[in-house]
Amino acid sequence: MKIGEVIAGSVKEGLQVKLQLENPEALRIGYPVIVEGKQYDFYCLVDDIVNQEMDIAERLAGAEFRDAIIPGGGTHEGYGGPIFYSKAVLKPIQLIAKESGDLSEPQTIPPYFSEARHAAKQDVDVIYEVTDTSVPLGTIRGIEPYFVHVDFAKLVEKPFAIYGRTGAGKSILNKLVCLAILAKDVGSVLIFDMVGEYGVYSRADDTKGLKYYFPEKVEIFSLDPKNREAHPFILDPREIEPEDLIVALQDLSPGMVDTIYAVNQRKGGQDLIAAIQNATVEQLGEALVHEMSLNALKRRMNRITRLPFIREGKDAFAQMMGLVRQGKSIVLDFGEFGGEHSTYLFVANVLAHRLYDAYTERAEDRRLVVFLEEAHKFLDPVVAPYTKFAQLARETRKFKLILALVDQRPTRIDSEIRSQLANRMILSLKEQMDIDGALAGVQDVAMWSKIVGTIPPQVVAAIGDAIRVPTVIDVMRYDDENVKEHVLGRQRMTAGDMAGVGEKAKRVFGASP
Amino acid sequence: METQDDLHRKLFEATQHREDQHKEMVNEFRKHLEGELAVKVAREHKGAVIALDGSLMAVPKELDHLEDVVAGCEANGNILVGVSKDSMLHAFGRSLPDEQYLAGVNGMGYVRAPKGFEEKKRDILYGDVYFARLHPQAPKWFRVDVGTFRDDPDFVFSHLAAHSKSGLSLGYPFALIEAHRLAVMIRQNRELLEDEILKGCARLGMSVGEVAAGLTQMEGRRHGAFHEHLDRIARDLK
Repeated sequence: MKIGEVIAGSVKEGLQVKLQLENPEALRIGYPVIVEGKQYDFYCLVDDIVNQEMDIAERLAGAEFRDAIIPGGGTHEGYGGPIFYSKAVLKPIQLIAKESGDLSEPQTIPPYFSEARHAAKQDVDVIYEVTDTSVPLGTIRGIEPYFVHVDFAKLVEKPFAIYGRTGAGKSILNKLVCLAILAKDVGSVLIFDMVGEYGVYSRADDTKGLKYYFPEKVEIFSLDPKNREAHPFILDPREIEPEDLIVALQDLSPGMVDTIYAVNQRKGGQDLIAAIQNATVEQLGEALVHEMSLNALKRRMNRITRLPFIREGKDAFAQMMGLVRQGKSIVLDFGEFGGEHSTYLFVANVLAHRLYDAYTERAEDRRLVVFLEEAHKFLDPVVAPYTKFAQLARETRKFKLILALVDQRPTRIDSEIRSQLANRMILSLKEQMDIDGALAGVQDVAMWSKIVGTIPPQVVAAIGDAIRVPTVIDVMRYDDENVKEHVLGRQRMTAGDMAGVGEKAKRVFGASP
Repeated sequence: METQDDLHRKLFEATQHREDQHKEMVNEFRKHLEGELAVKVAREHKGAVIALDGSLMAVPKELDHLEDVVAGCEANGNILVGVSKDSMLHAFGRSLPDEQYLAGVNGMGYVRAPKGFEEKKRDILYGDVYFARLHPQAPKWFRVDVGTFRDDPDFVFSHLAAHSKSGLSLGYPFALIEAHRLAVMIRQNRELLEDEILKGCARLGMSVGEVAAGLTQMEGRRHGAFHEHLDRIARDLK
């Protein structure tokens, strides 16, 4: 459907279109639009929609018309379309050669009066590739229902991020991304499940988790000894390093940090936690530690020592890695510790150390994607030097260990790490600094800034090499039907489905004698 | 003149006693084109309201198309009216022009001009002369000549009023506002159009001097309060 004609434009600033719509509300920021040039179709996204200033509108506004028709796009048609018209600013994203269908970067503009219309399914079919490893995350805005595919083999090649403010839909998107990775078997995932969302059923909203859809591919470990259905997570205290404590106990003074290193150097055969608890100023020397710092550190250590999963025993990490080598994914359920931030920081960092070593020194072969929620807690420029995650983000794509950052404050993530991200899925953000942080290094940042600042929850701007062109996607509703239809694929049947079919068969044909 | 075609001879003859004849010829030529368009629309559309700008008086009669327009409208059941933006008529025999005389009457309605006036003009008048206020908040009464459905003015004015509810100019048919915008485009795009004229004249072998002498500078400008009001709307909507 035609929506208007080009009245101005530049390669740098985009195209201006005089809209011939009765109501500009039919268009939204981020909608795909095709401008038909002579040689190319210009695939554009709506960057802005404008009602221009008009003297006559200013004069008429507020006037009391009795039985009159207020001038508008639908009522006042003139020789050049509606007299009261809106304009759209369009940003060309891709050129489609009319004859060959070849795609290229937008390095030119269409002639004056070129027709702009809503993109149709056949237009986007040319743009978006469906591959063996692609899965749709939702529908494209403005052409429903067109499911946009993201290539998950490409996505998990390099670090990526999911950004969005609270309530924007990060968890749902995260689940869909995890399920897609598992469905296409492009790697395993390790997810720190703070509130019990990813296992069999979500404790928060009762939606189905990864284990429900992939019972044979997902193993759950739990920090909570009361959870008998999961593998117990046991952390050997001998594996704990100074940086793990520094990250976990983020309120340490410089004196306390020095004390940890001093104790670590002299701990002998003890693990670090025991060594700190047993340490005295006399043993370490007053030149190295201050009594007040040591005592304060010991008090803070209580947050760690009370954790029941830190004990000598069958270390869970080796078991996890064994499962990952078999192609399985891990959900680490925090159970009753889900609300404790320091526990999360501590466990995640300890595992990061070990994963780093496993993948860099022993060259593990199975690709593993580690989903890191609250990523800024690990990757803040102040904390980043003490965590392994910064190194993971920078280096490990060479070693098949990929970091997926999930965060609501991208601005607090070290800029060098942000620059390593090959793909970003950006949900609604409101703080301009966060928007800028999420979009650092992206082309057409002004347009994307506007889009990200205005999109509603459950809508994501997907930018990166896993999707052919940057796209605004309405994330699909997370329910059984959508997941089975679009993520798992029709051919996949669960044991429950099979049982259902069996029951139906019995009803139709009768039980066999 | 002998070598000119019938239309151009008529244009010349009809204007030869007027001042600035070349301008008057251009003006009559414009009216001729408008008339041809009105005939076309009257013949091609059915059940429409055809509102012409100005009265339904054929001046000069030899160049006019009104007879054909009325016939076309009658054949197709079209309402034909002529709406004058600024009328200086004194049909009611008052010292004030009729529009101003009626200005004190509020509400909406229509009133026929005294028949005596119509009788005097019957040879050139194609319709009945009314004054109408087409919306309760209209700024003025307009002279409206009714060319068809003359026996049913209620029918004519109810239709016309339905087209005169635009907040842009209450009581004046919206389509005529748009026609005015088109007419004044010539002023808004003067440079572009002059270029085209010069190019066209050059192709015909005319010198710049000849062209300059023939420029009329008329540009659709006319005096009158409501005309200027519409000019302002056209300018603001540019």
